[in-house]
Amino acid sequence: MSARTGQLIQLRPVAVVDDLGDEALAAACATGDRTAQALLFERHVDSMHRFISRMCPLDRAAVDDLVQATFLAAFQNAGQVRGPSLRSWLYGVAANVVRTYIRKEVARRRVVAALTDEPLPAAAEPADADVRKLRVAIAALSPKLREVLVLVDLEGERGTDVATLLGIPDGTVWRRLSDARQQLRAALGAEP
Amino acid sequence: MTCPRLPQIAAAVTTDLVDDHVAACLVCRRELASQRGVRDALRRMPVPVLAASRRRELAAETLARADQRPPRATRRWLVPASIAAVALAASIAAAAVVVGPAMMRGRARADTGAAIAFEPPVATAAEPLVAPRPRAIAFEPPAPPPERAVGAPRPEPARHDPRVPETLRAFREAWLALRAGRDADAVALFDTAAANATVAEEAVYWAAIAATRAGDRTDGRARLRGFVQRFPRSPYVDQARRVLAP
Repeated sequence: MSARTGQLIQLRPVAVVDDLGDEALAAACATGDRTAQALLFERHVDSMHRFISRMCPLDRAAVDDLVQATFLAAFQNAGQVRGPSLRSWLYGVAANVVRTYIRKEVARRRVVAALTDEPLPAAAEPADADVRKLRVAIAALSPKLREVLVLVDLEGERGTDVATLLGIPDGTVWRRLSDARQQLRAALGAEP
Repeated sequence: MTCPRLPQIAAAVTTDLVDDHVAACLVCRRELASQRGVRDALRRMPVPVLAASRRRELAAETLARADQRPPRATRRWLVPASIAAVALAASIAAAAVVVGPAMMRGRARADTGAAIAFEPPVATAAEPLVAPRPRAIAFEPPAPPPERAVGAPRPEPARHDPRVPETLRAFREAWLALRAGRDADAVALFDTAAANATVAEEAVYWAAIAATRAGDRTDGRARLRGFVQRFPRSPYVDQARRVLAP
């Protein structure tokens, strides 16, 4: 007895949720586990914030709300995770949230424009002229072209993964990407 | 000047895989260079960064809102139920507007003694004049709740999405059991969860850990050996091999 005095024995090491892989994390989220939801948010908030910021380059005020809406939708639907990875699936959720927002925002701006002659306040512009041009050009793309361009060229997702998460054929991804790059090239004033 | 292979250039730019045709064809080479220029310009754009302070606030707000939202299965019925309630209220109000004045007129006419044509109902064989008395309605009292042993854990209220498979619920319960120190329960629940391919890898590994913690080292080691054989590429394999090492 006395020989063991002073020894620190770890009787029961704590199993932490950090050990969970993405798939198991999604499964835990589907059961409403708050710890798992917090970890899912922590792991993926940066990529979702980046993606949404790039999808809405001139509408910074809405980005945080859209990030929040993306994760709320993900928590609600975590039992239905599909696709090559959890991150890809989250991109799909975010793309849906942004698409819905853009549709509503376009309609709202039309109504506001019809009611008032005053121009809508413009977003803060970056100093670099090329970056500004690019942001305006990206914002001018249709949502379908924009999401493919952002996912493949900016987020570095694979074309086949993007096809899966958007539910479109591979060929459509490449066609949309080609169209988007052409429009950007034209906007930047390069030779067609 | 064009080339039938032009639509494939977008993929070639992205994957950086250029075949012999693209290397030889002038049109494709020009398109490739042009699309690469656009892609490189995009990559030079500043990367949006979420500030640490805003990140913490956003996490707190999101999790708080997630707590406020009822489960999806419940919420899905709220809209049709509220529409039905509004429709019912509207039909009651419409009936009151239409029938109310008519009843008042009829009552006023009866008060003044005006003759009102009245035809007594004719009894038919199928419909007797005197309606049969309603039969007693059999009433079954609600079933008593199932008996629960003293000290047994309370059943969790049905707040989860019913579409979540039983195996995933078992996975969640297994984690709770493991954290609560109910290691034997955790082993059984992880074994149930292992039937689900999505969580099988985690479930098999943690079942082995739970078995070891429950005091059955032989079973724990056997389970770990089975885990290493079944999931040789798992990130847990190294840890499992360390435990298994003599």
